[in-house]
Amino acid sequence: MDLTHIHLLLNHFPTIGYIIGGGLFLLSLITNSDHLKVASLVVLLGISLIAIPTYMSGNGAQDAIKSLPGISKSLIQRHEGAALVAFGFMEFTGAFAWLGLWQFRRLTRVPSWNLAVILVLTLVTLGLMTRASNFGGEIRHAEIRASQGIVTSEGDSEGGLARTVGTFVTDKRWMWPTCETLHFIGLSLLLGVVFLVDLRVLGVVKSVSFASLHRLLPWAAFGFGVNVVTGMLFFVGIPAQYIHNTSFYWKVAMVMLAGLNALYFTVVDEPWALGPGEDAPFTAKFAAASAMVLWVGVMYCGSMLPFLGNSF
Amino acid sequence: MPLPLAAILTVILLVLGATVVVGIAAYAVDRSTARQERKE
Repeated sequence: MDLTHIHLLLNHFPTIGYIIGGGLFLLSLITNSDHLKVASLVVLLGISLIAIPTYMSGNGAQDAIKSLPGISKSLIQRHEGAALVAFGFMEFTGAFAWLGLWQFRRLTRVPSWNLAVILVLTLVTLGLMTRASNFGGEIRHAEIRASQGIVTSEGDSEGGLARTVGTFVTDKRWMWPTCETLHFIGLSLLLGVVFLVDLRVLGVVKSVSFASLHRLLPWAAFGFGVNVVTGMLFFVGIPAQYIHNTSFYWKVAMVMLAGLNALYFTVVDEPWALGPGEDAPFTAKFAAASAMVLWVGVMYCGSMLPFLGNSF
Repeated sequence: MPLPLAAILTVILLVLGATVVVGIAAYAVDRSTARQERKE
């Protein structure tokens, strides 16, 4: 199995996931159901996480098919550019969905301004994702191209946005060091908060309630956001040094699992009920310990990109 | 090859700028939610 298989496996999730998540979200607004709201936000957040390996595996698939007969490079680039735009909106939607879940935990409701933002972003993202999927289908399905009158000769591309961004990242000498520095600042912000929360759940500083530390989670989310943006810029800059790198695969897999883990601490009742001086139940301790292992693993695999893999 | 001075200054400015923007955004989220919590 290679990245082409993974891309084929994952590439329908963002579109179908957004139809399901967006549909549930609309239904939750119509019926004013809090349970549905939370469920739909979890779906939207989950899909925004799945979108990361979906986008990245696309470059692996591109690498595998670009020299096959009948494959148009311009169609691939158009799909890549459209996917990058859709990915950006999807991550924004995921960020506001997470914020909604965090707000729901603290306020027992999601503020109406955030519901409006999520609704608009979800609809726009769904449209962009449908467009990216359609462009993706055109690469291998001549019958769609023919029905839409698309010429596949090189140079007919409206896209190439991802390559434009990539060239900007690699050509501007200040770009890579800026992203690298911000990546470390984001990591420090993220791990600083995550380890604080995890250590409390494991029994350190028991006098502090979980709710007090839960308040800090948006700082970790902002750190994660900085890392997604800068990490994607690295990837779009030189995808070739990541798509054949085993250390990078492990890093992305652990980021996915750590994201799921973060959901536990954001929405589940068990840790939220942890008052000052109270001992956490086993499941919460297991989640905290696994979060620490996963984030250390993410850091390790990131550092080992040039040593276990072939980057730089 | 070391970065030229202009590039180094650009990096510093961008990093400081982005850090301040993220800090203000996170602080604003914290304050507005805390205000709502007190109200309810």
